[in-house]
Amino acid sequence: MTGASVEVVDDAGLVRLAAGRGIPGQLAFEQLVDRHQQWLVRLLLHLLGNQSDAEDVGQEVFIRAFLAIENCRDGNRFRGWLRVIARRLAFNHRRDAKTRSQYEERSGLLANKSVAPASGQVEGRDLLKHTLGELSYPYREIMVLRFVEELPLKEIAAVLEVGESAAKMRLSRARAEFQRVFAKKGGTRGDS
Amino acid sequence: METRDKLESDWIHSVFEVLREEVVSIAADFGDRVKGEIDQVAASQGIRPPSAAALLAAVAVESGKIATDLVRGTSPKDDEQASKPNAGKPEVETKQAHSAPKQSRED
Repeated sequence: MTGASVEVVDDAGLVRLAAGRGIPGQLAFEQLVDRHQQWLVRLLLHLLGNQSDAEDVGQEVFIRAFLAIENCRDGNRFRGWLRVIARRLAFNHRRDAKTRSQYEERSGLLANKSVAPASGQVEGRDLLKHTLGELSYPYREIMVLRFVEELPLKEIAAVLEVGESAAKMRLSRARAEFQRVFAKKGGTRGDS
Repeated sequence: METRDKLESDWIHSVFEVLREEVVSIAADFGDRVKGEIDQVAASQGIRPPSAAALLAAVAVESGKIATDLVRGTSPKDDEQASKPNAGKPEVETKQAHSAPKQSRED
């Protein structure tokens, strides 16, 4: 549904309109989609490491958000609210994909499984992506939230739905693991 | 409380700069696909009422059916049969159609 315009500029106003439902609500939510789609797909791409998965999950995130928009109590923090939904769905998607691939592996369906490049074969962005790809998912997730999304610890804890001290400990371990894998792949502190 | 300065002086933060600055090109029709899905969800879950255009179209169709029936002189009972592919065929076939289970009208 497109065509009509909704004259509300900030997220809070759009969320309020969207929660009012009806056609104006739908149009307001479509504006939120326009506003946040680029950021959302980028976040999911970094979490999942795959563009197609990121778009599939991104679509699901918007639909879930649309259905539950009444639960977004602070419209000014719509992005943060969307991030929590995205994180949950990315986690589920990854878990399902992992189960699927384990099944396929056992069935011998993954004959041409890709092999990560050996140390020294990748640089810059690829080096970083390969390093992230080797981290366990909880570590990858917290590294993305901290260093790509640049969230403070308090907000990371809220997104991960854990206490602040648990988030702090996980981040510390994730950093150490990142540093170890990054160095193993030939990365140095000067690689950026 | 951690500060922005602390984050920016972190060497890992500078390593991640390449990802922060990365422009991700999403599929051109991504937004339209999302909106299409939302439209379907909204309609199917009764989140929004049918659009005015859809209501007018439905009224026009019904009015057309009524007008056709009036011209033909058929009774309201035949409404459903008139819209079926074998409507207007010889009387024998129409009677066969009448013997169809009544549930079809409720469907």
